[in-house]
Amino acid sequence: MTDCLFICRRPPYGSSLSKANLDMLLAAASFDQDIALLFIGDGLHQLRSTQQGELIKQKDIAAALKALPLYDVNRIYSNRALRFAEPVCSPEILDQQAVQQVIAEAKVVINL
Amino acid sequence: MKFSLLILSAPYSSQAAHSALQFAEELLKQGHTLYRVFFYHDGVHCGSKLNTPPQDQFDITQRWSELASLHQLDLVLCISSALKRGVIDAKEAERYEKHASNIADGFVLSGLGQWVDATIESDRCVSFGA
Repeated sequence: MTDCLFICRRPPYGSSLSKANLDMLLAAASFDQDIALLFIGDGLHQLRSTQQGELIKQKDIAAALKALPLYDVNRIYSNRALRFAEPVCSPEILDQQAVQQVIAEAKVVINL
Repeated sequence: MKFSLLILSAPYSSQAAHSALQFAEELLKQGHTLYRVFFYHDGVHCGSKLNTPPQDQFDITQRWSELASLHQLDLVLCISSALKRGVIDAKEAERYEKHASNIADGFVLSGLGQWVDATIESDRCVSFGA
């Protein structure tokens, strides 16, 4: 059972909630929690490796996402295929039923 | 049942901060336990004692302080969210050489680990805002 599922549904910039979500995820990972990520909607843009956050004085979300394997976070899902090349990581694409199952099986869901 | 709340919205900007407070009051009234309230992102504005709503508006910060003292609540402001938004306690004010502090009674600054702990220890976690 997943201890904590993080749903990433916001674009990487424009609001700091995407960063807040990742910070919380890394904190949970450092507590040895079993974690999964689900990218939906605009959240998929967080996976673009060509983002240049530094141009708008923001920390690069992609850099934080690249660190996920170091935290043993390997269950990364999406509800649709990516439409850009060379993502930071390749999520497993889930259909609607599988998305519902991933959410239902998580003890805690953080939806930011 | 043991609850923890995650509050992500500033008071007076969205209904969420007030809804969280009402939710907390009701669950305590029904005999449940409130293990921790974690204020994250814009939610940390709930913990500034400089919040001064007009007299005909509800004082969210003051009510949280009252509840904390009545029920020994653990009201935690995320320290990194709070400091960058100007909500600071005396210790951090000294460390960063700021001339004032403004954290309200009953609130403490601490790290995200406090929220992770709350998710592990609580039967239910409920988030408000964002």
